Amino acid sequence: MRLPIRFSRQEPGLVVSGIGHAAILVAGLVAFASAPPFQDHEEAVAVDVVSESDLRAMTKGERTAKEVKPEPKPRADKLAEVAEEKPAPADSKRDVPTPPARREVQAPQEDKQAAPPQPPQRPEPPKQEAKAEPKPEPPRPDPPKEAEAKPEPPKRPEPPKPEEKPEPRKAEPKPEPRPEPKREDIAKLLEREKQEEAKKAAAKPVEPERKFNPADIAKLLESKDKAQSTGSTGREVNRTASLGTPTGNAPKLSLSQRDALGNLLKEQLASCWSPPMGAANANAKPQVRMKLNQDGSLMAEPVVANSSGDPAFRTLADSALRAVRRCAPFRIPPQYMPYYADWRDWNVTFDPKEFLG
Amino acid sequence: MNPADVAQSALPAVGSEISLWGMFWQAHLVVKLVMLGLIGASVWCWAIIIDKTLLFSRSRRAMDRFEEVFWSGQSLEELYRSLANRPASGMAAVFVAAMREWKRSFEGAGRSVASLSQRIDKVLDVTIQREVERLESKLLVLATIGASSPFIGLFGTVWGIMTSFRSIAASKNTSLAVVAPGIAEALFATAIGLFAAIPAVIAYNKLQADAAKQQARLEGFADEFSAILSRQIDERIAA
Repeated sequence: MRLPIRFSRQEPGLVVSGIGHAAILVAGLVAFASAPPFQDHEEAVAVDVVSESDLRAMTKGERTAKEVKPEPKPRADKLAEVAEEKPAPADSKRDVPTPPARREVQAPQEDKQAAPPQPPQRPEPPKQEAKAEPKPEPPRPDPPKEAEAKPEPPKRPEPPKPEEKPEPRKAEPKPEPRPEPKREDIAKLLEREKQEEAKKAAAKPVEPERKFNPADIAKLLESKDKAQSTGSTGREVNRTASLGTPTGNAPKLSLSQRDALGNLLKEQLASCWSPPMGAANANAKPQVRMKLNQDGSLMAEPVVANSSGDPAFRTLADSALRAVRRCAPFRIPPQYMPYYADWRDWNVTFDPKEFLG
Repeated sequence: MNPADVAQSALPAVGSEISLWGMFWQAHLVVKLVMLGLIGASVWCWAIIIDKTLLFSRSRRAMDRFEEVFWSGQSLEELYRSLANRPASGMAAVFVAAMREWKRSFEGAGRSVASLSQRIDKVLDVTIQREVERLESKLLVLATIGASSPFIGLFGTVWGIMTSFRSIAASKNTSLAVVAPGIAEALFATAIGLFAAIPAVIAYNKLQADAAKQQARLEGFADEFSAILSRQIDERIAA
């Protein structure tokens, strides 16, 4: 073997190869001087779809809450700039006389969607539980009320809750406007309107386009600072998320309970239903979806949930809807109350054979 | 990068050095030897590749030139005289060997032409053999490097990973940051092995084919030349 140092023109291989390898080595030292670290991967934002029952379970609230509200509402710190307007079937309900048996105290929930444009009704929230508490301002004189409306201060100032954020401005109680009107006589409305007008004239400059709220005055006097947090928005201001509702964690009906309740409702409906002639041998089975209040009254107009090509279907479905309207409010035994979330939406199949036979 | 720097940078933190030199320096002695051996093999194999490529192209050009001259109608005696004095290779060597045998047979006192044709064939065979051997020498080294250096590199890797795992067992720390540098430097050995082996295998196949082609060309020329010489012999015997 030849010495590697000697360079011959005939066989320059070793020298060339050695130089080449040295060059590659140097290039490698430069290129691999440092390993590029992995890039930090970005965290994905998880998005959950919250079903209605989940939402209800979320409104369950806390054990330490002072009171329980009959209606669950998601927490909202301020009014949404753009209100999500849903089609309000209640608009038509204004014209249609309500079922005679409905109790007035329990205003249907849909009414509050239609109500806000009517100023006279707003500041008079009906309360089931009367809570008279000392307030900084003298309570507004109550307009005359009907017998079942309990005399009460219009606003329920809530004590500052410990769960609220520690900043003093945020923690101060903002009374919750409850624009839940109830059905009243026109005369009564007019009478109240006059009283309200006088009051509003004094209080309006504070917040002209929002709801008038005497407690706001005190709040505005106390602090002019801006809120630290923008807060969550909603259709209405609701500071009472922690209070929860009795039906909050939405227990489910067991199969047998569901069966029993279904039979109960069917029994009641059967007495109200007068199917059209020849319905007994029709094949159509209209399915009516009704939304119920806790007292068994209808929360919204019942709707037909299915369709069919059967010519008799239309008349059958109309008669079923009539039956549901006539039957409301349904008698629902108190043992089903905790399961309200489960039977709030109830579908009834009006099978003529089953109902009549 | 001088050794003092390397020693400083490599000693304190085990996982810190990830440059090429750092990987080499932290490796176990066996792995280091494997790496050095593989680098040496790579240098050698490339030296052979370069030499052989040059040799083959040179010898192909020489054959082309010789055939041109040979078939140009030039007298064989003149050609022999011009070639005999300098060392020849390839076809020229074959031609010179046959012509020398031819001349010796006629120049001697006793004209021994009876088995001249056989003797010339023998001489041609031997010369071709020698030439082919010259062409093919060291090609086996390429084959050996191509076949064995992956295994050598793998041996270095296995050894390095073994060492790495022993260190893990000793330090009782299994996080990837601790394991990774050792494995990287171990894999470096396989990388060098493949770096040496791949060109060796490719070049071996190519050069082997070239050598076979040149050998076939030499044999073809030898057959033709031997035919010419035996015709001359027969003519002389008849004359």
